[in-house]
Amino acid sequence: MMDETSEPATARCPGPSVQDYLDQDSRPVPPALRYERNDYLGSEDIDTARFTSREWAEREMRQVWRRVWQFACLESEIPEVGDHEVYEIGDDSLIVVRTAPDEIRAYVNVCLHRGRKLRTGGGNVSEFRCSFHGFTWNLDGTMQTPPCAWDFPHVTPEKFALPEAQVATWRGFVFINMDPYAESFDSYRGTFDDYYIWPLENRYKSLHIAKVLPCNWKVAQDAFIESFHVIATHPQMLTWLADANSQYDVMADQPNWNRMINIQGAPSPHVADSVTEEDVLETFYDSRSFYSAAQGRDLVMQEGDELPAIPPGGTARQVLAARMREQLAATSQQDFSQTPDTELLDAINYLLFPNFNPWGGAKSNIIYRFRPNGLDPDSCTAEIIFMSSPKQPGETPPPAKIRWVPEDTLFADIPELGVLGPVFDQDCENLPYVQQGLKAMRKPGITLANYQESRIRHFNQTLDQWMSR
Amino acid sequence: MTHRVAVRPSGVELEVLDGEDVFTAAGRLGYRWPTVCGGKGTCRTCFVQVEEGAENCSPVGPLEREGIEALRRPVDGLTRLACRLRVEGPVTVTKRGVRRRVQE
Ligand code: FES
Ligand code: FES
Ligand SMILES: [Fe+2]
Repeated sequence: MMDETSEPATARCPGPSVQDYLDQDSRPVPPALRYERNDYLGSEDIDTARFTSREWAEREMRQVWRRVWQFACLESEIPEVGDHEVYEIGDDSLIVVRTAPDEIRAYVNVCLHRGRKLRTGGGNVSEFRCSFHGFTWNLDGTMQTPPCAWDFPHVTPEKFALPEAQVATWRGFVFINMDPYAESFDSYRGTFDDYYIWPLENRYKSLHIAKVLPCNWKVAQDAFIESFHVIATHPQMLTWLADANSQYDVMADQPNWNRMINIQGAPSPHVADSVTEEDVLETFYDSRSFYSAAQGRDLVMQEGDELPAIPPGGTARQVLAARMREQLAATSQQDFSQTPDTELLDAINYLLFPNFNPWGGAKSNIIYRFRPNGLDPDSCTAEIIFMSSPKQPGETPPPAKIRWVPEDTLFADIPELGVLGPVFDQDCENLPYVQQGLKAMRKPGITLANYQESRIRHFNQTLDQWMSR
Repeated sequence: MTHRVAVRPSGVELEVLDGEDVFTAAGRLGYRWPTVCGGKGTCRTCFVQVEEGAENCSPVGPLEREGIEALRRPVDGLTRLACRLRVEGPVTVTKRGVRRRVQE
């Protein structure tokens, strides 16, 4: 809907739009990707205190993290009764546990006697026994008779059930909400399910990398929801990645999710007039040839293979999509004959507020999760998860365990990340300097592009709504 | 198929079934074994020291490992939780307090 109020944000990059590319797709494109909407949300600066202030971080814990639905773990990580993971955010700690074959609950991970944490990591137990004095809770949260019950006539099991958070599951993922009065997760997601159309529940977690980054979690999150930075941060990608003409979908009436679509296998409008289709093809392959194929995500060329030829009048994008279609079919025993080019090549990225940041598409789906590191405004945890199709349909390989890498380890040194590793390093290179710069800056806020950074505005406005609610 | 587990210093000898843990076998055969949790792997009270036959003992799982670490013992296969310990051959352990249940 374009009315006068949205006029300031109608300007777009003069290059071909994402929808123009989708018009040329060799297969029908699902309506979810044909959808396009960007509500103008203003152009005011965003204050910097949210990124740097400890007081802001503490308030954010109370106002936001204690009240919103957030991604805690995967169902596949806790398949058996008694299996549990510990999910921690700020000072809060929850045991997310399977209590029955079809039931997952989340308990506050604290002994009600003198406050020791009950569990310090995941595992399988048939009861929660505190390691301090042995107070014990059953999987259903009820307390057993305490040790030396004669000394606790004032402690009755009825008063001492473990407090709980709400739990919801979605396509194999477990979400929690610490607010007993929160709206349901179904209503919280709004229309997200209609636009995130990929069956994550049929995939398995093939990779899980985690690292502490020296910046606020919002500085990190903001860096991964726009493609504007490609021109300066990833100049090596300009020949094969259409950056400035990416599509950003933000809806004023859908505060909890937004999206971008970024065309790959086509040149950036910044360099398009000096780049041929052959250049696109060659550099696209080149950028991947150094790295191993990451769970089938990256298009690879076999030793000694020639670059595929582009037929007269054809485009690099068509050839790359066809090759990707073949590679995926050969490695997964699935039929990709009807899969459109866009689902094989493009970066389609969603953010479900605040910490579920999945990519869409037919390849392994990347999921990012950025969140605060305790109450420290100057650091955060960043996680990269790959959800891959099993080699044989119906197989369910066990989920990869989380791998924490030291702060000084490069993502490029993790071969499974493929082409993403060094690119992620380039992104992360900026982040500590942003964190430091925000403190040195005299201007009270950061300034955003109207369109290309509209997801950042949308995300921060949703955050502001929680902060003032 | 059963396997003999000898318990020192009492000299108790248990015939432990395949797949059965030592704690459960003791209970089945009428012995009291020190416990608080009743065999759920959470109280660590049932621990034993393996004297002979470590090679006949089941591998240490995550919950048992947690318990042995909490006991501040090395996880070297010689300190075990009886309620997690299964055997595939003769084993000798030391555990005080294993005795025949008193008949009412
Ligand atoms: S603090 Fe948990 S039993 Fe005392
Ligand atoms: S009986 Fe409690 S841990 Fe073995
Ligand atoms: Fe980037």
